[in-house]
Amino acid sequence: MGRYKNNSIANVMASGVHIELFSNKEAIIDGIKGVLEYSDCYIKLNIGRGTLDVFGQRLEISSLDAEGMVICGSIEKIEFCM
Amino acid sequence: MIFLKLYRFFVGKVRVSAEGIFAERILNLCAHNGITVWAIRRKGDKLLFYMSVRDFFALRKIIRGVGIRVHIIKKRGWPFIVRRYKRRYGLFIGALIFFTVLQMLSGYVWNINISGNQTVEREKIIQVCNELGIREGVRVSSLDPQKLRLEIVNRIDDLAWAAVNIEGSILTVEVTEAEKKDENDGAPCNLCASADGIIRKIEVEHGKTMVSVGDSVASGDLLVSGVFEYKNGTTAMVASEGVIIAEVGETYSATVPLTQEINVLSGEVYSCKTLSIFGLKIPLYLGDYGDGYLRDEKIEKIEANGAYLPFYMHETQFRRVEKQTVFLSNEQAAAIAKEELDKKIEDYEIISKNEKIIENKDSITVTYDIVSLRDIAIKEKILFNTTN
Repeated sequence: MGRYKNNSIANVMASGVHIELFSNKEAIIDGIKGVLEYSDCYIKLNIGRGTLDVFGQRLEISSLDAEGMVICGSIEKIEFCM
Repeated sequence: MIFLKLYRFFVGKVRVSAEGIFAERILNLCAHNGITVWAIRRKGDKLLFYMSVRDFFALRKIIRGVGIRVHIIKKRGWPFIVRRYKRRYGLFIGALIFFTVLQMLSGYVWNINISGNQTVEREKIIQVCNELGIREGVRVSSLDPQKLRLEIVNRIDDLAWAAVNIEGSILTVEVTEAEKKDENDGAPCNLCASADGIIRKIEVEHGKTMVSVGDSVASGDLLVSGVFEYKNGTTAMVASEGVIIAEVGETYSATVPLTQEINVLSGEVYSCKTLSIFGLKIPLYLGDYGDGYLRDEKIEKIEANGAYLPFYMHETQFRRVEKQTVFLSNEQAAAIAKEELDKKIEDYEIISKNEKIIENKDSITVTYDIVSLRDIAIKEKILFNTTN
């Protein structure tokens, strides 16, 4: 019971990465710690405990600020590396 | 999105190129320092991105000693346009004058539209509006639509309702005409004969028929009575309705003088132009042309976006008219008289027509003796005393 309490939705949303996908054309990613690598077919993001790798074609960070980022292009794969 | 683009345009944006070892660091530094960057692209070793002008100055401080070089490759937005033209004072003064004049002119009535009228003449409504102070060039703030709409209805009897709507510089007077009601509508009345004749057809909707087909009647005779008397002694009154067709014999005549004076254009034409600005007419000619001239007026208004501009040229052409005496032959005079008579009887169903031409000393008289079929019933109100 206590385990469920700690992993409540509110806690997850406050601490983790939040990803929204619009088809495979746009991804809104919040809660990232930084950009580690960036090219037009691969973006590696620091998410604190591990990395988040985004693979695709013609990838572009259309907006980046303290809260998160928006990635546009043809997204093929999103991978968590812990 | 459009507002964001507009905001970025007015704030000013720069396209920045960043190069150095691990250039992605600049993105992290921007994010951690609250600097928003967008449209980030990698081009070889370089990272290209947009940022606002203000943030660029902050960025230069942040990346000091990091080993990343940045430089601007594009400048876009309002601050750069202003900077480019800041020494051209004429442009700013012109823009200021333009907006001031625009603001000033938008406070005046440019056009007056009338809508909803069918039988009431537009000119009559315009005239009343002018009397009430509604005219082109008047200040919008000086008009009280609620008061004016009541005044318009009061001054034009044929209107049931009016509204004065002001949209920007266009004033629209919307009217609804009153339905005309017959004074005798619904009131008890008889049907009487309007001419002498022999009754040929009777169609009565309401009332008591007092004549039969074949009867001869004189003008003023009672045809249909609106008074009913019942066997129990009571009386009821109705508004008689019906059509009484009678054979009516009538005489029409027309006299045409053999010597006539007619107006002939001499060919002399004078054109006078008047400039109208917000209803103020400035004549661009000298002198005046009074009697002996025909006036032709032409107004050419310039239309823009469904509205007319408040200044236009008003052209008046004066054509000189000379009086000439013309002598008509007997045949020509008779033809003119016949034409006049034919117009009078064109709506009648003619049974027989007898034509007489009398030659006088200086004129011709044509007489038509006609027998026609027409409705001779006219309403006559029943007058009764209501006092005991």
